[in-house]
Amino acid sequence: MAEPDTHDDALLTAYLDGELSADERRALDDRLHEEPLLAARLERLREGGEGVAPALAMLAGSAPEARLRAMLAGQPVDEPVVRAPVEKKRRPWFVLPGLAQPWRPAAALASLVLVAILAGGIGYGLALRQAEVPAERETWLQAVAEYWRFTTAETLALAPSPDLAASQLQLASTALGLPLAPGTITAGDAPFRGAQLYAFEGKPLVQIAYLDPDYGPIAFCIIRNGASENRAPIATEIEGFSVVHWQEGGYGRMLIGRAPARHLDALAERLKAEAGQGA
Amino acid sequence: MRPSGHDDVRDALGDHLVSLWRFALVLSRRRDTAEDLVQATCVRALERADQFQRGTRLDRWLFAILHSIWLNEVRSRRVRAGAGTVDAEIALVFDGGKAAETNILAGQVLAAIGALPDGQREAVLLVYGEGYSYREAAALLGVPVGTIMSRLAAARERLASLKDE
Repeated sequence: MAEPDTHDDALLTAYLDGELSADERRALDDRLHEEPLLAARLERLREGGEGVAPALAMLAGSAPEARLRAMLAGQPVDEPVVRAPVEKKRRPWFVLPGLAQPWRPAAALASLVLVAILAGGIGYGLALRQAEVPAERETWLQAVAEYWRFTTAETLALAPSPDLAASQLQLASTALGLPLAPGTITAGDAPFRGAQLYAFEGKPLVQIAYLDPDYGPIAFCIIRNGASENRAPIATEIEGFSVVHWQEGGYGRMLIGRAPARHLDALAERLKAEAGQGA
Repeated sequence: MRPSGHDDVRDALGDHLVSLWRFALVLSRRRDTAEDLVQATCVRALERADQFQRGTRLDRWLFAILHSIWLNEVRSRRVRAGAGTVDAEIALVFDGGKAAETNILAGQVLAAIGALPDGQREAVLLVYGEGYSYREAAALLGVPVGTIMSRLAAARERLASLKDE
């Protein structure tokens, strides 16, 4: 097929968006009757816009509204109205903590972000920089646990298509520099529910979700943290979740869910064995 | 008597937190940055409440403040801090076909929107997300109406081509 003529795209878009005057609209209607290629172009642009508004509405639904409200409520009520001249200088508590020095890990409030990137974050990958993060640095285990609170059986109801699953694993695998083939990270028999790539303090972090028929959502997370020592699995509890975490070959790993610790322990053994097989 | 629309501004901020956050997220593509941007917007709007002109739309005013902070302070600082490479990585993640767990189609559309160039993303958000007219979007972004039109056209074409794949 020849290159489509995109000459009238802006006009067609304005037509679709109801931005043309009545006269312009009539004129374009006439042309659309006469010119099938133009009509086809209109159809393509219409398709391009399909689903955009609902997707953006869904995005709004994932806003951390409670946190935003708390932030607003924390703004001083009786701030004196300062007249113009002083305006520019004053910014003592105008903090954009993570931004001034985005990658400096030590700043107390700054870094603690499980960066779920917009799309990955749609809905559930909430950034976790909380106003009340303690002064000590949050560990990646805590960050994942905070985030995992937002995952429910409902949010994992749909299985990704095999293609999507493969591309997610491929992306995750590339980012980690670790092979993650389907079938090598089975975590028992719980159905696979997708792999998502995040970053924690600039380190790639992959979260692989499963929906256990008995215990609900379980995540297997891997971070490339470069830590040199190896550590056998340790069971603990964070944010009310069972967590089993271990360290091997420069990668931190954790299992998290509402399953009993012994169940996660068994999964950890299995995952270690699977990783040991090399694939 | 309070000298300004301070209370009006505070109320309006409460009403528009979510849409401000969404705008901030679409601009920055980072949730941490989005929250910081909303906070900065609140601070700035409350500081300048006396500058708000009654009779004009408060939500537009707040959006303009947020956009200006993004453009003049946050984005430039990140670029100077060398965060550009990180952005490239983020764009890659966008392309990775992240599926929203609840709604795979919407997730794909959002991923595609996330991969659009800055100018297209902001136009898409304002016009298709917030219902701005072209003229209003142009005024907010400080570009001609024709630019809004062509950005939206390019965005639609790009989104359509992603659906082909």
